[in-house]
Amino acid sequence: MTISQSAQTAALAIFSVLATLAMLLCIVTASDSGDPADFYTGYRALTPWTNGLAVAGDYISAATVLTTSGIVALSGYDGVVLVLSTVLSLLLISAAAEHLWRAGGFTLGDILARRMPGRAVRAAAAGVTLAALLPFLLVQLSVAGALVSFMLGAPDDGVKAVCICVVGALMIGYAAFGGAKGTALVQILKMVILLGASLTVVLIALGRFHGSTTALLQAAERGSAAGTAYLHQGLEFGQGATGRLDFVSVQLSVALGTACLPHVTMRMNTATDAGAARRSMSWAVGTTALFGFFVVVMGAAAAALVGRRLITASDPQGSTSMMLLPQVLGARFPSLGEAVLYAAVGGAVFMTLLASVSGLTLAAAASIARDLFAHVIRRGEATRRAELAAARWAVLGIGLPAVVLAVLVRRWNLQVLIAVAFCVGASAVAPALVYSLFWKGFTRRGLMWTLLSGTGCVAVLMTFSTAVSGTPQSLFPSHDFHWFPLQTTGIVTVPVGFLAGWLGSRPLPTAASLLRHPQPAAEHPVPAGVHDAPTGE
Amino acid sequence: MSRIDALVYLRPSGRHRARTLGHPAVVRALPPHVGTLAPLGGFILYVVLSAYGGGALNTPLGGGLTLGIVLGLLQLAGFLGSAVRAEQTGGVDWPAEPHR
Repeated sequence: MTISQSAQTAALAIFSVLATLAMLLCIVTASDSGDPADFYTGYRALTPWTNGLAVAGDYISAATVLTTSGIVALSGYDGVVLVLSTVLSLLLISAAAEHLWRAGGFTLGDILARRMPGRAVRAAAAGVTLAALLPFLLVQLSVAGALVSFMLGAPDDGVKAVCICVVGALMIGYAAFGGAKGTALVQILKMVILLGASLTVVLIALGRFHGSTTALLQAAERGSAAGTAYLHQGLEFGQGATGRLDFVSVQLSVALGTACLPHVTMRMNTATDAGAARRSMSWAVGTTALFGFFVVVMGAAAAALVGRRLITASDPQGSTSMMLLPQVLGARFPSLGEAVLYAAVGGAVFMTLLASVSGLTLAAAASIARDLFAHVIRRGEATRRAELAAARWAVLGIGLPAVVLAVLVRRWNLQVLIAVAFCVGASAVAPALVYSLFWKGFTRRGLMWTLLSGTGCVAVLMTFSTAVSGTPQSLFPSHDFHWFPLQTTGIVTVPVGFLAGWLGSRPLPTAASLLRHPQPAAEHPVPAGVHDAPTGE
Repeated sequence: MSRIDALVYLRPSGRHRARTLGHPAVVRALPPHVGTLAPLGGFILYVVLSAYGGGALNTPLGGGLTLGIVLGLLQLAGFLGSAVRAEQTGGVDWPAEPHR
C-alpha cells in the first residue's frame, strides 16, 4: 500500500505545526519562580477536567495506543481484554488519588518517604522509578522512529534514526522548559486531537458498514483470516497451557501495574485540591474508557477493511494498523479527503508520541533530582535553586542517553520493554503503594523488601523469559537461554512483591529469642517509634 | 490491626454509611473498599473464565457477538458509567484518611 504524495506533505506540515505549537505552549507557561515544586506540580493550578485530560494523556502512551490497537486488529478478543485491563488499572488507582494528593509529593520517593523517611527508601524508590520508566521511554522512542518514518513514507533505517533524534530533541525541550504545567498542556492538546481524530475514524468506519456491528464483526472475522476464532480467547498467546497462563499473566500485570507507573501518579499533584484530584481522576477514567471503545472499533475496522495480510506485511505486531485504516477509509474520497484524514490521524499519533516521551522524561528526571540528588546525595539540604537546576540537567541526562540508545537498537523488537515497565509497576510499586497507604502494620523493612524483591524478580525472570530469547518474536531471536516459559512475569512476581512486603513487616526471629521462646509471640510486631517518625520532610 | 479493630473498621456504618447515603441498601450494607475492589474481582474472574472456562464465553449470542465479547464491552461500559457517577457525586468511595 502506497501513501500518496499529498498525504505525506499534509502529514509533514501538520507535524511541524503541532511540534511548534506545543513548544510555544511550554515556553509561554514555563515556570520562572525558581521553585522546584512549581516545576513538578505546575502550581497545582489545573481544574478537574483539564487535569483529568492531562492524567489520561500521560496514561495513554503512544506504545499503548499502537500496540493495543494492533492486538485488537490481529487477535480480536485478546485485544479487547487488554483494553479492559488498561482502563481498569486507572480506575483502581483513582481510588487512591486523594491520598496521593495529600501525600503531597511529586515522586514515588516523596509518597513513600512520607511515612518512612530515610535515604535508603529514597534511593530504592528512585531505582524502581528508573527501572520502570527508562525501558518504557526507550520503547516509546523506538516506536516514534518507526511510526514517523512510516508516516512520511520512508521506513528505512537512516530516516528512522533521524526521526528518533528529532522526537528526542523536542521531548527534551518540552520537559526542560515546560515542567509539569507545560507538559500537562501538551498532554491536553494531544488528548483533544487524539479523541477527535479517533471519533472521526470510528464514525466513518461504522458508516462504511451502515452502522451495523454485525456486518463489522463478520467482515473483521473474514479479514483477520481467523474466522470465528477472532472473537475467542487465544489468538495472541496461543491455546496451549503456557499460552493461557501468559494471557492471565499479561492481563494481571497490566491491570495492576500500568496506572502505578510514577509518571501517572505524579499527575495527581497538579490538581488544585484533594477533591479536585478525585474528580480529575473521574474525568481521566471516563476519557480513557471512551477512548477504549474507539480503539476496539478501530481495531476491528482495521481487521475488516485493511486485512491481516497487509497489516502484518507492514509490521508483524500490527502497530501500524491505526495508520493503515485512514488510508483505506480515505481512498473513497480521493486526494483531498485521503490527505486530510491521514494527516489528522498522523498528527494525533505524532502528538501522542511527543507527549508520552516528554511526560516520561519529566517523571524520571524529577525522581533523579528530588530523590537521588536532593535527599540522598545532599541529605535533604539542597537549595531550591540547586534542585531545580538538577531537575533540568536530569532531563538532559536522561533524554540524551535514551535517544542515543534508541538509535542504536532501532532494529530490535523492543516489545519486551513494555512488559518490563508494567511488571515493575505491578510487582514493586503497586504493593508498596497499597501497603503504605492502607496498612498500619507496614514497616520500613517490609517496604524495602517489596521494592527490591519485586524489581529484582522481574529483572531476573524477564531476562530468562521467552520474550527475550527462544522464539522468533523475542528480543534476541537467534539465541535461546530461556527457562521461564512465559512472556510476562506478573503472575509470579506480583505475589512475590506482596508477600515480601508482608514478610518483611513481621518481626525477624533473633537467635536469642529462638533459644528462649521456641515460638516468638508477635503481639506488637512493630517496635514503638517506627510509626511515630516525623511525617513530611 | 487487632481483630476488634478490623471488625470495627469493616462495619457498615459511620463514615462509609454517610458516604454512601444515596446508594441502594445493598451497597450500604457492604464493607467499604468492596465498591472499589469489585471491578478488579469481576475482571479477574472474567480473565480466568476466558482462559480456562472451556469455551463457555465463546457461546454465540447472535448478531455476530459472543458472550465473552458482550461481557467485556459491558465491563468497559460499567467503568465509564462509574466514572460519570463518581464525577457527579464528587469522587470514588474510599475512607477519607489513610492509616498513619
